[in-house]
Amino acid sequence: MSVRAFLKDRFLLLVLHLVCMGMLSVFLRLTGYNGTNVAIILLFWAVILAVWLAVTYLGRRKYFEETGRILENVDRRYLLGELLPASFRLEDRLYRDMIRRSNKSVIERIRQIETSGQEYREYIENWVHEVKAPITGISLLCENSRQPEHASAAAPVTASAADSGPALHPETRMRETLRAVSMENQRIENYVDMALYYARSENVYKDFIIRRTSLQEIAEEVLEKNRLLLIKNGVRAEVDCPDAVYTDGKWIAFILNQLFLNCVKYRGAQPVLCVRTKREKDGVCLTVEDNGVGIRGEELSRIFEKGFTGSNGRDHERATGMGLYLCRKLCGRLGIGLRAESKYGSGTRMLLHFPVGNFTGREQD
Amino acid sequence: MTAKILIIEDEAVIRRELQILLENAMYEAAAPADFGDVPGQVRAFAPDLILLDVNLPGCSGFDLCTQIRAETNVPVIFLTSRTDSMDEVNGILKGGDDYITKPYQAPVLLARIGAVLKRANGGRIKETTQFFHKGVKLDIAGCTLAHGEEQRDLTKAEMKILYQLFRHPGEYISRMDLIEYLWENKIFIDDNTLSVHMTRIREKVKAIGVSELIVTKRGIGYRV
Repeated sequence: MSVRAFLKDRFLLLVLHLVCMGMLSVFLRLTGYNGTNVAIILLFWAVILAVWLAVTYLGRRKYFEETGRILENVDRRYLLGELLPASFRLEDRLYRDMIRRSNKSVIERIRQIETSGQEYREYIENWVHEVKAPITGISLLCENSRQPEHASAAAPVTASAADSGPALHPETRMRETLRAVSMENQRIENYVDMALYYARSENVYKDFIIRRTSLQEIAEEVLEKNRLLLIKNGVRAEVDCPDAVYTDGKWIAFILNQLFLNCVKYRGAQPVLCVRTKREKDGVCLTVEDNGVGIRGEELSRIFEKGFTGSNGRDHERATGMGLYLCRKLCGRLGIGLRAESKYGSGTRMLLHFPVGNFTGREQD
Repeated sequence: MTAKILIIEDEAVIRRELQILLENAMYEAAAPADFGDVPGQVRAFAPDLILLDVNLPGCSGFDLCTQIRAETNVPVIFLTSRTDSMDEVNGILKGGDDYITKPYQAPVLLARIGAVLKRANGGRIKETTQFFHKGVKLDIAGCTLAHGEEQRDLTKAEMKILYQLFRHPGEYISRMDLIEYLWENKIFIDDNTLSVHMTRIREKVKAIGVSELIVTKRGIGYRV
């Protein structure tokens, strides 16, 4: 609030005073007062007015500066109505009252949106848990029907092999079908998991168990889970992760799952997937390396953005632009650094950096 | 002695398929459809292990576990579709031995059941560790293949391949099934690598003086 702006705001008041001063001096002169006395009266008037204006200006400035400071420092600015400094002025009190009422309605609206968002998230979580029962059912059905023990020994297979070839035999066909159903079922599970983790990524703190976790076990578990898809695509995988870290295994499994699926999606001719850990001075680094199509240099910095699909996403399989975005988000929540290195045409390397003493360390420094 | 497993699960399909899965894996399994008196069923069946669903109609698996724990120390594995960490902690606090989330992979489930049983029984239930076929001895524990005096060491992958073939003598096992079996056992190979392993196995078989142990049928697979 500058002096000029303040005076401009008081323009009418100043004009009023000037007019009054003028009229008074005219009146006094006409009634026979001498000029010096009139000048003294006008001088006093002007001084009193100036002091009055100065005091008002300082008071207002202080008031608004304080309001500005409050607004600056508070993280929820819509709560201003509650924080406005006390003022004896009627206008201030009226404004304050109005701001309060307006804020109240904003807060109600926010609460409403928060509640509905929360309810929606909870519903998604519940839905995911519900839908996992039938997925489990299908998976077990396929597994049981695929057991070699069930295929009535080798006799019919060998008999048919001589003339018609294996692919046409109903039993073999059935097994192929079940394998395919299993694989599709696994895909459903992967997509369902994405929805679950997306719903959860907002408030991870609810769902953490940080404990000593063997990355070897998790990587193997995830590979095994996706074995049908990986085998079908002729992937060979190597896992060499002797280092253990302190983190939440479930979340890491989800992240690795996404990374492995990407390796399959953007695979090269003879896909090889390498998962390794390396102990570094400030933590453990897990690399997931493939020899796939790689990522163009200019796109590398954007792959973790939400909805980014890039040229690979368009050329190869349908990409959602969600997988890596979620990975980065979850990694952020877990305090893990995630970055990508890639040479276009010869492969991609994803690096997960687990700092030592992930959470306890932060308290110490 | 086969281990007895009691399945407490309210989804009919999963219940039935779990029972089939466990019976195929040579366990004795029971799966009651009524959850009114689970502790009574536990007393009657006297299982070596209980698979317990957490969300049951009208009651919670956690409470059931507490009731069961009041009477016996039989190992309990929780099966649940809830992936909340708090649930997992709760399950373990209530005396569960393991906690497996749906959708579980059959091999993983069997491995965990095996591990819990082994821990509970102190290795009372023993697996066969030696297989014989056409005079060839496959020793799982020693990881060797022997014929008469001749003996060769096997790598893990070779051992697993032979184990799968020896378990189903006379039966053709397709390359695809073999690869899948290996993946289930943490050996993540592709088709070419399987060929390499098969060649090495043949060399070792020849080296111990057996002319034809593994029969190959194009497009079908291998058998012993």
